[in-house]
Amino acid sequence: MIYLLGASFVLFVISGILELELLFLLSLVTAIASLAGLRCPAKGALLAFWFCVGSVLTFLLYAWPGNALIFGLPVPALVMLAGIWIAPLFIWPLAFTRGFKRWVNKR
Amino acid sequence: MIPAVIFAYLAACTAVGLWAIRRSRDGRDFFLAGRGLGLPTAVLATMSSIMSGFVFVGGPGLFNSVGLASFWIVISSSFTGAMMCWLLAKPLQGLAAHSGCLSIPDVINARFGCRFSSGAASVAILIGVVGYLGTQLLALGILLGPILGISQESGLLVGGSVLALYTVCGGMWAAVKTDVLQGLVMLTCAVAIFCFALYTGGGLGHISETIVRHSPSTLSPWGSVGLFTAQSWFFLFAVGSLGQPHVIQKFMMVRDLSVLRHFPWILALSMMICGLTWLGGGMITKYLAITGQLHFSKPDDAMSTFLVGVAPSWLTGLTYAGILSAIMSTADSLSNIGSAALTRDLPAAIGLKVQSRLIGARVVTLVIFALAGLFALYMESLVAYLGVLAFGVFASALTPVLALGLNWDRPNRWASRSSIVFGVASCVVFEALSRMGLYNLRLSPAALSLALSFLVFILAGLFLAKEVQHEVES
Repeated sequence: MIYLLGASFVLFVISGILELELLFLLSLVTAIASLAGLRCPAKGALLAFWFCVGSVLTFLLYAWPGNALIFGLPVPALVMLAGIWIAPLFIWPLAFTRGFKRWVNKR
Repeated sequence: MIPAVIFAYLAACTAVGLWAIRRSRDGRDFFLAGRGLGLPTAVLATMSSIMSGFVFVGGPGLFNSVGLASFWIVISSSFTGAMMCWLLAKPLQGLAAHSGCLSIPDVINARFGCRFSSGAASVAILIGVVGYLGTQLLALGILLGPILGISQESGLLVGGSVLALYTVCGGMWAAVKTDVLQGLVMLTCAVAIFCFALYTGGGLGHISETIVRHSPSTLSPWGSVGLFTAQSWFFLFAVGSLGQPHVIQKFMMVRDLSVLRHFPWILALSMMICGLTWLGGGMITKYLAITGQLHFSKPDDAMSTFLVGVAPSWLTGLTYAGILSAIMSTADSLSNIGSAALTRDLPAAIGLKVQSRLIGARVVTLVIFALAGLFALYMESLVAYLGVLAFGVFASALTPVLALGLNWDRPNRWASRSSIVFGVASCVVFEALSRMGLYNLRLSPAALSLALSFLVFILAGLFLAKEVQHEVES
C-alpha cells in the first residue's frame, strides 16, 4: 500500500504540473484510498470508494455542459453532490462501524 | 432582538466556561479535557473545531465568486471522519492513555524519539495558530462591532474577552463543553438558512434554473477556477484534515475506543448539515444578486447583506449566533494547542524543564490571545496571509508524520525531521510566490506542498532509514 501511495503522489504532482486531467483525477482518488488503506480492514470498502469517486470524477471530466435539471440541479452538479458528497457516507463511515470490532482488536 | 440573542449567547458561553474552572485541575484536564469525552461531546467538539466561521461567511462568498467549485472544499466531509478514525484514533488515544502524551508534538516525540521533530512541529503549530486565531478574532470584531453598535476594535475586544475568559479559566474542559453548545447552534442555524434559502428562492429548481440561465459556469463542477484548482482543494481538505492539530487532538480526549464506533457517520452527517449553509447561502445570494434583489460590493459581503436585507430578524439573530459559534469553537481549541506548544512542547524540545503548574498555561493562553488580537488589529494583511497559510502549514507539516508515521514502522527520526521542515518551508515559499504572482501552476500551492511533503516522508522512510541504520551499526 505504501508503494501505491507513493506512486499515486508522484503521478498527482506530475499530472498536476503538466495538466494531464484524467491522470490527475485518478491519482488523486488513488492517493486518498491508498492512504486510508493503510489501516482500513475492509478492502471492499476501499474498492467501492475508489470506484465510486473515480467514476464520478471521470464522468464530470467528460460530462456535457448540460442544462437539464434533475431534482432541481443540473446533471453534473447533481452527480457531483450525489457521488462525492453523499455516496461516500454509505461507504467508509458505515464500513468503519461494521468493521469496528476487527479494527479495535487488530494490533 | 439581535443584540439580545448575541448577549444571551455570550453569557451562556461565559457561564459554561466558569462552570468548567472547577474541572481543570492538572495538565490532563487543561489540555485534554480530562480524557473523558463521550460520543456526543466528541462529535460536536470535532465538528465545531473543523467548521470555522469561513463555512458560514466565506463559503457562500466564495460560491458567489467561483461557483459550485468552491464546494470541493467541504465535499470530503462525508468520509474524512472515517479516515481520521482508521489512521489516527487508535495511536493517538493509546499514546495519550499509556504514554502520557498531552499534545501532538508530544505524540511525534513519543513515536520518533526526536526532540527536533517535536520542536519543529511546535513551530509549525504556532505559525498556524497565530494566523488562524488572528483571522478568527478579526472576524469576531467585524461581526460583533455592527451588531452591538460599537467599533470593530471594541467588538474584537468584547468577543475576544469572552473567548479568553472561558479558555484561560477552563482550558480544554471549557472549550469542549462550549463546543457542544456551539455545535448545536451551528447545526440549527445551517438547517434554518438552507430551508429559508429554498423558501425565498421558490425552490431549488427555480433557483438553479435562474442561475444556469444567467451564469452557466456557476453550477458546473469546476466553476470558474477550473478542474485543477477545484480538485487540489478537494485533495487538500480531504487529506490535509488529518493534520489539523486542533481537530485530531480530540482523539486524545476520548474516554476509550468504544466511544468511536459510530463516530465517523455521525460526524459526517453533522458536517454535511453544516455544509448546507455553504450550498444554500451561496445559491440564494447568487440568485438574489442575479435577479437584482440583493446588492453587495464584494462576494464576502454576500451573506451579511442577505442576513441584514432579506432574512427575518429571528434568522439573522440565529445565524449571527451560529457564525459566532463557528468562530469561537475553532478559536478556543487553537488557543489551547498554542498554549501547549509554548508552555510544554517548545521548552521540552530545547531541553528546558517543563512547568507542570497550570498557571503558566493560563498566562500563556492569555498572551496568545493578546498577540493574535494585536496582530488582527494592527497587521491585518499579515494575518490574512497567515490565515490562508495556516491550513496548508498544518497539513504539509503534520499530515505525513501523523497519518503515515503512526501507521508505518519503517520511517525514523530523519524522515520526520525532513518531512516537517520541508512541509513548513515549501508551504510558506509556495504561498509567498503565489502572492507575488510568481507561482503559475493551476495546482494550489498548499496541495502541491502537501503532496511533496508526503513524498519526502515516503522516500526518507524507504531509503534514509537503512542508511542511518548502517551508520549506527558501523
